[in-house]
Amino acid sequence: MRKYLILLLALSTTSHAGFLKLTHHSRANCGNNETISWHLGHSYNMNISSMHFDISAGETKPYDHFVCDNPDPKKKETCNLRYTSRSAAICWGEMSKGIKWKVRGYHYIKYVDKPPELVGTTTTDCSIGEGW
Amino acid sequence: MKKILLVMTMIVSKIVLAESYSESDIDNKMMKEMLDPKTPSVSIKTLEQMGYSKDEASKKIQDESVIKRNGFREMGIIDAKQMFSLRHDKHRFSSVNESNPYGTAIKKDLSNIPLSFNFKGISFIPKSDILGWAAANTHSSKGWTGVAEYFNYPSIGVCNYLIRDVIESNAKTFLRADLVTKEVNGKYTQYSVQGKKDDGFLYTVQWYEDKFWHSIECSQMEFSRETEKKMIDLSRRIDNDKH
Repeated sequence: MRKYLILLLALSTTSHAGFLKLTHHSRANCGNNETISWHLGHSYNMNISSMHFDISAGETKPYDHFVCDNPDPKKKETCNLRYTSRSAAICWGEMSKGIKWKVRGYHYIKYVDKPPELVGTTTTDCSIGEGW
Repeated sequence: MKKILLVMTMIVSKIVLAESYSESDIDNKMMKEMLDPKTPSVSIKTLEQMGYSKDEASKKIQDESVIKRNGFREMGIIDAKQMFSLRHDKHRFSSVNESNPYGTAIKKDLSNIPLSFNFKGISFIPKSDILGWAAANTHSSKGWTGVAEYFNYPSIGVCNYLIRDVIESNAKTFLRADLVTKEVNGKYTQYSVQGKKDDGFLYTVQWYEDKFWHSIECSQMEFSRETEKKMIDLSRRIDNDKH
């Protein structure tokens, strides 16, 4: 099992996942708009949400679209924690609406033995270099 | 009479439920507070301020006293073995990852991780003890907002030091008033150990500043109470280091 894990890790060196540490990113106008937290092989309680803005309209509204990894079925625009190694709030194919998007991601992590943290990622770019 | 009692019970239980938050509500409440631009990057809070009822808070404090008595939180981890495997893996570096600025696997050279802040590594760790470097946290337009240095520290084990740029990653945290100390040079500090026999143990010290958050994690296969002092001493030394 350990050999398979090492092989998987070796093959994933260019993956967008945090290999040794937890990483967070957002990407905009990539076909999808997305916000993701990921640590290969390590699970945490994560609440990941993503707010998408139509740049041409400015940020007059709180956001044009809101998506989260684990939406609460009973409360509108409320997200719940999910215990996972990869938490992703993705709006598939949102770019096809012909809008230029800005994505703001919020990454809330609840650790077992460490204080909870919130990290923010903002981007208008599909590049993984901005918005990680 | 029975019906009246049943209705009364339902009303009372609804009131009780309305007054106590579920774990998920507490996290949503904390997250909302962290999203407020006025909230500082680090806040100290009692469990009640976080949203726990008095009973839940005293249960949590009681749980912590058991962990403190045992010396560690018993739970399965993969970190200790993963860190030891780095020490023995001669093929841990890959040229593809090394040249990719977004590569998150271990790197031989810190200069191959573009950072949003100045960091040269811990000056007192001999080159021969450095196992590598890994990108962490987020990547802003200025570069990675976190990096971890992996190294051998003979008196403890295999360790990593993680430094994160709080400003560039818009990071916020709430520290529990009952767990936080100021052991690392007067800065807010939290210490924890987790692991179990056969999995190994991971010792962690985290300390916080306005602009940077720091943590060291060290792994050992056996648990030792003496390691706590060594971990705090190492943290103080790193904090004083002009890296």
